[in-house]
Amino acid sequence: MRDSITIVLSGEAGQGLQTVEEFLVETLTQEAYVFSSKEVMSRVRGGNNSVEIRISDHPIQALRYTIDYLFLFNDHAFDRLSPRIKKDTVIYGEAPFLKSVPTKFKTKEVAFLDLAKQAGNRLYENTAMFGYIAGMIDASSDNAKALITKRFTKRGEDIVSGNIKAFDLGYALGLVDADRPKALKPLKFTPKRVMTGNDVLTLGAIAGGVNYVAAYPMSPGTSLMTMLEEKSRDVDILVEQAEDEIAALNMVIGAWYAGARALTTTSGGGFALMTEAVSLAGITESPAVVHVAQRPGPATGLPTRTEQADLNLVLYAGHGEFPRMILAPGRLEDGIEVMSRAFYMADKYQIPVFVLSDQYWLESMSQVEHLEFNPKYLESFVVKTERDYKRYAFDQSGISPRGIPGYGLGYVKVDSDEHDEEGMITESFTMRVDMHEKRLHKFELMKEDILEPLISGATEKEKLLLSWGSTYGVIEEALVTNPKWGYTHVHFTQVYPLPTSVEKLIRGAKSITVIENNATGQFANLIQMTYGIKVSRRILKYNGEPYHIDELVTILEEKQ
Amino acid sequence: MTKFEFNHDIDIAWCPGCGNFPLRNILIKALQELELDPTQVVFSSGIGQAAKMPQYVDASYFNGLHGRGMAVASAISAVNPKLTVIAEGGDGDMYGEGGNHLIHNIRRNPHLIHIVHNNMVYGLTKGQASPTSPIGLITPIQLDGVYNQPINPMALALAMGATFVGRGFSGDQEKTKELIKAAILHNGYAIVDIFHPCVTYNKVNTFAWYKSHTFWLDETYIKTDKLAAMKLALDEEKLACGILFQVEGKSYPQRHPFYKGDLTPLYLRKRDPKVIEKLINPTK
Repeated sequence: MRDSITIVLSGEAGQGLQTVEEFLVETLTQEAYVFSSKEVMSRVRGGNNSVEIRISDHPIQALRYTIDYLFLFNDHAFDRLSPRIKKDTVIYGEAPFLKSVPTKFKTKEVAFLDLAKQAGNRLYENTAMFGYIAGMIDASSDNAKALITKRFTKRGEDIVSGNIKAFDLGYALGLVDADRPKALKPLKFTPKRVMTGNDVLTLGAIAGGVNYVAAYPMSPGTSLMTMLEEKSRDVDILVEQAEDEIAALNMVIGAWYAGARALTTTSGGGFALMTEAVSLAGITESPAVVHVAQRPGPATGLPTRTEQADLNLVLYAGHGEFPRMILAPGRLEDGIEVMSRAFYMADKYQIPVFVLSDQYWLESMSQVEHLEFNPKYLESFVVKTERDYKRYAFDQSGISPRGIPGYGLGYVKVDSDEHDEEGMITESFTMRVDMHEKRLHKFELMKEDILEPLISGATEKEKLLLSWGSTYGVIEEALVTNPKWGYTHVHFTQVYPLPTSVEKLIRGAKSITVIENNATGQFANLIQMTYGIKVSRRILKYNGEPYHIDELVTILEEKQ
Repeated sequence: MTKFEFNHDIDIAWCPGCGNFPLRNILIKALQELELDPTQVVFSSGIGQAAKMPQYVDASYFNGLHGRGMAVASAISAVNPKLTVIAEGGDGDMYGEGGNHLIHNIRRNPHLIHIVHNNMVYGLTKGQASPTSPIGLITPIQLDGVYNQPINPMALALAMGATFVGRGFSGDQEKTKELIKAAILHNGYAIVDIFHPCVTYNKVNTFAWYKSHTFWLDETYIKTDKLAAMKLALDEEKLACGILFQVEGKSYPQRHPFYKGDLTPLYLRKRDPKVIEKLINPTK
């Protein structure tokens, strides 16, 4: 585990935790490595939510369970976090807020509200706290003030100067806090951008040429739709809120049919409603890009929490047999590659492509230096039709060239029934077999286009640790800081179909551990089925939280 | 004129004497008389005997899932507003399984024609009650007769704010053809509910029954009067045919902020990699 400082802000929905988080992270990213994430209750106001900001002198993309500094925003913000408090954790807050903290813990009263009032308005309370924390960790006050100015300029000079005054008052107190941490700043550092998973997926979709979105709101899948609507001011994206998820995917398929590059976004429950249309994409050989943002089920489950338990759902959704592809971003920057590639693969192979993320990956803030995109992914595979065009022609390439209505002299006849080359309904058994084999043969063709796994860690490659999706960052940190364990980490960004390139590696391994954020080891099962091996150990977590670095290190250390 | 007709024989899956046959003739004639270019016409349908219509008209089509023809049609017309898009299916498909899409697409007012073959019974699944089956109709499932209130598609469409609401009867070919032509020329969503007999499964609502229960609105009828239209729609004894209601309204491309008057299909709007670079790395 990296040396780090973990600061947690705890309060109610609507108290401004996120504003303080954004200020801190934006300031810190000018001078240190930082990662942050929030955990919220499924309610618009009240309850108890918290934000964790973790700071290090080395790159990190993981949370820590134990808290160094806890800031309480009200009198019922402590209880739920008490298991994360250790002996030297310092708990900050107004005097009344600290009353709920057992006396065995170390508390420190800070009158943030008084500081705000001194600065001229009680509304500056969060800015005073931001100043205090910035002072404690010796963040650059210049950077912080520049941010404040930028944020409040629109609201007038008085608001800017009031907030800066509140910041200064807090900062001065934080600087002299006897419990402030030792400086934890990298010796060499270039300022970085902080982004969320949602930010990069949005950009990835644009880089994949998205121009049509139909979706029905469901957390945590909604943000992608919201952000693409915002971006539709800069690029051509037609966003339509569908009446339900059934409509959403049917509309996406209809949009591709008419020449769009279309996306829908949802979570497990919404995706369950889309499964019939997934099958429709299968037989009509329609491209579709479906973002499934996982949260814990079954049914409504834990709406605002995280899990990786919808792999099986996405893998097996839809009746009948047909090819599909599943991609899951691990590193933040993978979001661009995965989402833009999804459009390209959907278009090239005329298949549904799923991007599988989760609440934790989407809503965490982490750092990037430079993002890249591949312009190749904008390529369109649509052909101009001739008068005798047949949508389902048996083509030498193995893939029937896809025309769209209105572009060329031909007609584009698409049917959900089994059909002949022209698209007319058929009940011929031989045609059925030919068409079915043509569709399934795309599995073979897709093998040329696999997104290869990320392999790191020990070079002996005998003791493998396999993972997919959002667990990448926490596993990397655990292994990089514990090379003695001798693990080789194989992280799959393409979850299905799995690459044949690592078949030898997996079959030759002495032990295989799979880490997942679910209860049954869905990915471990897929690995076993694909490579014909037995997974030695499954590390699973399914309480609705992501893995914490200290927790994972302990789990791995126990059985070495 | 042979446009929309095949230059070879086709195998049609309807029962002999089915009301879908005259409907097919009416539809093809309407398309021909409007001199539409078949490459610019797209059908979208779901499942059922009526939903097979696109198979028998030579133009582009997307024959998708039961009840979802309207959802697909709505997206097609949004993505390429220059196409003539026709969503077509039966009463079970469009009013039952597809009920939610019906309601919400009337709200969207997409530029498309919605043709519903209404024979008040399920055909392809062999004679069960449909959402428009009259109370008392005996079916293999409703052995003592239908007991649920039938849906009133005309009244529903009017209540939802549809700007073109029409009803036809396959037995009155000339008038129904003119009705379909008017629907195609309408800006925005146009629903055309067409009565027609199911000779195999509906022994109550026969050709003769429709003939005696329907009448056509004449030139004196003022089709912009919504209350008058609603009164006609709610009369279940004497069933009015023709354009019950038609007004000008803003269609989806005129409402959605995306278009701004530009109806260029999406496939012709290319994305500039430089714009992507600027969004992805804004500081550069």
